[in-house]
Amino acid sequence: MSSLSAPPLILALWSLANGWMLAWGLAAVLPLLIHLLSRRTRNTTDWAAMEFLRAAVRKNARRLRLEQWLLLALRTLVMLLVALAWAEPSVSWLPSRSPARRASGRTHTILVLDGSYSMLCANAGQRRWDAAQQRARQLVAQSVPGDGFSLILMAEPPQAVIPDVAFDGDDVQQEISNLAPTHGGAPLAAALAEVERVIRSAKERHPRLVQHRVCFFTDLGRATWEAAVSEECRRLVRELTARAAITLVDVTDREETNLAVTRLAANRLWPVAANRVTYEVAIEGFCATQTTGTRVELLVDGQRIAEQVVEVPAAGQITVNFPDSLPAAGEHVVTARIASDALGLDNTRYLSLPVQDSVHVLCVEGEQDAAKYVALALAPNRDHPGPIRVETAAESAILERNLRDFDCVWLCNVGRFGSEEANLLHRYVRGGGALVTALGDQTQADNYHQELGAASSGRRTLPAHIGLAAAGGSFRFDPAAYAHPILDPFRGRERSGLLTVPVWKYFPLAAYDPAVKVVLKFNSGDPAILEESIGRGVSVLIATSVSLSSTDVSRQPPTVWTALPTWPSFPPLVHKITQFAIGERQQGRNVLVGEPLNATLTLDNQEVSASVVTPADGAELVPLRPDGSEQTWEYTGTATAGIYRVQIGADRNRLQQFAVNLNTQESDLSRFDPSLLPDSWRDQRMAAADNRIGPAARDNWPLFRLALAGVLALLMAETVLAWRLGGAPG
Amino acid sequence: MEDYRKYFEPRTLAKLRGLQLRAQRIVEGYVAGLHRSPYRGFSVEFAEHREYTPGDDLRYLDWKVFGRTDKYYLKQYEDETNLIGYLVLDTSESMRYRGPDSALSKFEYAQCAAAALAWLILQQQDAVGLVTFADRIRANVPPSSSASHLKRLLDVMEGTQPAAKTATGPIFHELAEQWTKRGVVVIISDLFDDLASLLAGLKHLRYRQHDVLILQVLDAAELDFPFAQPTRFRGLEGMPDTIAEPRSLRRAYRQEIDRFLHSVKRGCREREMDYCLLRTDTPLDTALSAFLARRMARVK
Repeated sequence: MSSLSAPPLILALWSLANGWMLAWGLAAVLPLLIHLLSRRTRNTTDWAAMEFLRAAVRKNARRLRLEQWLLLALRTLVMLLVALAWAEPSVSWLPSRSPARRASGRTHTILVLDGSYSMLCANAGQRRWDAAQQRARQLVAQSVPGDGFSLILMAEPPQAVIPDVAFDGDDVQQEISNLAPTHGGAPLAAALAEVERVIRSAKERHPRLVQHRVCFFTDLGRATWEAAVSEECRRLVRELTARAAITLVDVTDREETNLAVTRLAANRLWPVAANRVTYEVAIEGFCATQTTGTRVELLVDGQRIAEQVVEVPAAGQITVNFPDSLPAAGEHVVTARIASDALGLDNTRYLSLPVQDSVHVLCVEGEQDAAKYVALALAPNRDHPGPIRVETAAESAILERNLRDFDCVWLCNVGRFGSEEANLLHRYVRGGGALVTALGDQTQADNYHQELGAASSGRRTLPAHIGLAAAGGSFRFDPAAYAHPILDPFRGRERSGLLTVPVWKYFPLAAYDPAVKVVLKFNSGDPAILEESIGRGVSVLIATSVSLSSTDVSRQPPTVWTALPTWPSFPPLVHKITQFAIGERQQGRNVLVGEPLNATLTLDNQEVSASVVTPADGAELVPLRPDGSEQTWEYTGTATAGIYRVQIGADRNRLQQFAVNLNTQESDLSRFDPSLLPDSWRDQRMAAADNRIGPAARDNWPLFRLALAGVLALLMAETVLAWRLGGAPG
Repeated sequence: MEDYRKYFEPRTLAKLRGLQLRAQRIVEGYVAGLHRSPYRGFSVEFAEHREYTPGDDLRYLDWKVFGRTDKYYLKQYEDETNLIGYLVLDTSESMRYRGPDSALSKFEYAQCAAAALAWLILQQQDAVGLVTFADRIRANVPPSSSASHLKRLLDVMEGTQPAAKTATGPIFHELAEQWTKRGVVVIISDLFDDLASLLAGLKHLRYRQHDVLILQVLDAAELDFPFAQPTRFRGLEGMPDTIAEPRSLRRAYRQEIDRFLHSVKRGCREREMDYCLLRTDTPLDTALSAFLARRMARVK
């Protein structure tokens, strides 16, 4: 049965855009009220020719009654039709009028521009972004009065530039022109969710907009659109197509090759001036063929110090090493760049490189000489100190010293900690400090667990729970295939002594979190050294003693826990542990676009804000928030790649530089195969040269015009009838 | 001309206080204007002789008497203005009506017309009487031609207020029996009464050889029914009130009133009575012209 041969249940298929306007239908009682009130006439007159008047009334009573009822009916119907017109009824069972509807002016178009940085790729001088802007503006310019627009920028997170509906086309075009792509990606799921939210809001605020459509202006980059086949995106698109028509406007039809600097790192022992460093620059080629003659430049503080010409493999990566010496102590920026190509943004990468005069290590000993061997291993020549300055102190130093003054803190056989000490240690590690905890015979496991472990109410500082000390035995280290970088110096050097270190006692450790990494094990299988990143810092836990002062009194005669401090592998092990802990701490100097910049300061200044200068030379202030005995600040506006300079007060020594780099997944300019898009996407695609606009969803027939026409007709009929019945008007 | 015309305008008359003043203005205006007295210099009936004195007009010398007596005698003719006018004025309650745009009520208009006619008749040395009536004869002033008679007539008219119902038929019958000398009966009324009874009464008057002139006085609103808003019409002479939508009823009402007027006219025409419809918004010279035309026809 044709859908038009027998109209379905009309009541079920009617919809009212402004149903509450039907309340105006109550005004239909007004003509009746006026009619009734008019019978209580105020006009009264004596009349002599009553006989003739009564004769006229008598002879025309029926006609008069009919005429009155007819006029009353017309006037009531007028009010009802006006209310119905205002309620904007529509019937959806009528066939759709046209795929290129333009007449009704009640379309809500959500313009979604792909803001990933792949849109900055240029071809023949025009960027994909410029093409997207142009197409979007064109769409707005072709709209009819009454159409509404929302504008969303696909970004991390998506930005609803025009979250509500805007009806002024000029304003919308201006907003489009003012938009700029981000230096990040464009998660599709988040964008779809934002579109859904905007449509829902528009339906509530503007029920007159009966049609909704979503237009994506994108380059169909793989990094963004491969998520379209995910279950989450499929579900979001299903929900979206029930409310709106979706159109993809492909602003490019070609793939571009691209080279990108994807990594820049400084491989050095100590971040100390004049120390040897190797700058590692990774170049990745997103192309089908090998790229030759690629010049790679390395700059330190803007000065080019080296360059190399390399060949970048097809769809592969090459790492270029630049050996050098660290510059003088201070804040430095290392830049690696290659020649500009279709997408120039990813041809440069930055590295913030703070260099110190020396590395400061605090060794806290729980008993005398507990840290002696560690200090000796780090700084063997006190007369000619090297890059490491070691300070040995008793437990009280935790409270008395400012731990932030030290790059690394060794806790050697400390018996127990008070709450305040535990707080300070936790804050130190969380704020970027490197903590190495070596156990011993003074260790009170319960206290460690209580104050520094999982029972410390969110103040966990250690990576593992410390169990009861194991019974005596003879143990050796198991390097676990030298998987951990701390053991790099020992890989291939089995005779270095690491494997022969005798250990007779240790504390069994149980990692608190699966993220805890095992550096070294005992041949019993128990972990010997564990490490974990906590906050921005690193915490290393050594299960046995690092001194000869720990004694196992259960044995006769009492024996030391381990001979490790005397073994030739001890100094390099201590160095490597210290170096790793210092190197691995996340000082937050090198982050990706979108990640926050933050730091912790000692509470020794009167400043209340930090000044942040962005790569675009914009300046912003961020407040300094007190955190116990320290201050912290955080800046979240890292939308642009480059160097951000943060200064506290006027002291130039308190200038810090942060490098914000691209997450180079968008550097792969390969396009997502549209044939892999789910059906709901594929049918709505519109090619770059195609100006057709897809059909709008839910093409309802607005009946308010008919209702208004009916009102007009009734008013004319009422006027004519009143004139005819009443003779001269008024 | 316009100066005199203004005295016929009801709005102008409404500003004058006193019936005498109003009537005076009407008559003066009428006489001094286009309407010249048709009464000068003619007579129709020889009444008696008088002895000739030097200076008399020799046209009236009776030569037959001179032949018989050798004496000079003049013929004295009976003046043809020795007409008796009977003014019959309706003072029923319906005459009290004054329309929303009218300057004078029907009664005031009828008063002016009657007073002007009385003044004019007396000026011509005719006799005029006055009868006011409603449901019965309220006042009956016998005809007289004395100069002081006008004041009496005006006093009667001014002292009467319209009230009570109309009963034209029986009253006309009564008057027909009462008046022994024939004359010109001028009936000034809105004639809102039973038509058959009215015409029967008029017929009786005609039977008595009276010349009857009907001056039907109606308000413009009674003829045009100009009301627009729903109105409660309060009936006069005991008629019940009626609420009506005038715009819907206008055509039908006009049909009814026109039918009535047509019947009245036809009835008057069949009984050889003159009829003149006076609207209270029209100048009063129409009333005087109608009377005088009737008088001229009688003289001929």
